[in-house]
Amino acid sequence: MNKKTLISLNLSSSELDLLTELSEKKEMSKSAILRQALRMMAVLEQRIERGEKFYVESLDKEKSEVLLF
Amino acid sequence: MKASVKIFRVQDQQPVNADLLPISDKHLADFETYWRPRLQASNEQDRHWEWKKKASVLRAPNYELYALECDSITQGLMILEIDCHRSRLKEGKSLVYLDFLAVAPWNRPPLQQPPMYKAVGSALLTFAIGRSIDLEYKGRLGLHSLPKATGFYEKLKMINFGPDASKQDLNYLELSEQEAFKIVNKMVIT
Repeated sequence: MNKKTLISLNLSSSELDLLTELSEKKEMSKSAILRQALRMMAVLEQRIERGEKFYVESLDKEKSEVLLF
Repeated sequence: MKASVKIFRVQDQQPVNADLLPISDKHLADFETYWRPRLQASNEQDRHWEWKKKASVLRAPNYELYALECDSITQGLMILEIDCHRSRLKEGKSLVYLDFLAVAPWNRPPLQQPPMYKAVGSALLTFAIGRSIDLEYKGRLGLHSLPKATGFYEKLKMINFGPDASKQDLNYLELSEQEAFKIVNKMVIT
């Protein structure tokens, strides 16, 4: 479970900018950001497969919006 | 993630090695066989926790489930959520959320005097801090505490934000990066 594999990754300049922005904002390395993103995507997929839905609630709690994937 | 940790055997006042492992069926069986009867007969605030159900429901990439084993018996259980909680101390930053933590009934002074082992809860918590560091969350840790456990966490210098209405008014506490660093440096985990 602790074994790690090194991979290389092609990113567009906008994707790299996004990754850099997240890395700086969250004070985590780019690798850690990508690992977290991967886990989150796996969680979403798992729950979608179960038939669950995701909602986003507006700041004033007046509206909820279903996110479609 | 597997680690060798130290806990304290009260009988002869000796530190002993324990294993901190991913939860398995064996640990859940230990809960059913050895923990449950004693907990259900007690007034402990976690006596209703169903670890087998939690283990089956919380199998997801953002949850990590651990057992602390010594003498081939489960001495402690813990569930961490590693992606969906954010710090209040350092706004917006990720932290490890300690979802559930319990030690075996024979390690609890209210149920057994003297207890068999001490520092089981501390060892689990220290491991959780280590996971926060591994994930690059700098040791940040958050939890909602059962009322009787709040004092334990406050002794560790966790900041108490008070009752959280979204969590049955349980107190929300958080460990800062600075205090996390101090705790990890006190205990050796290999």
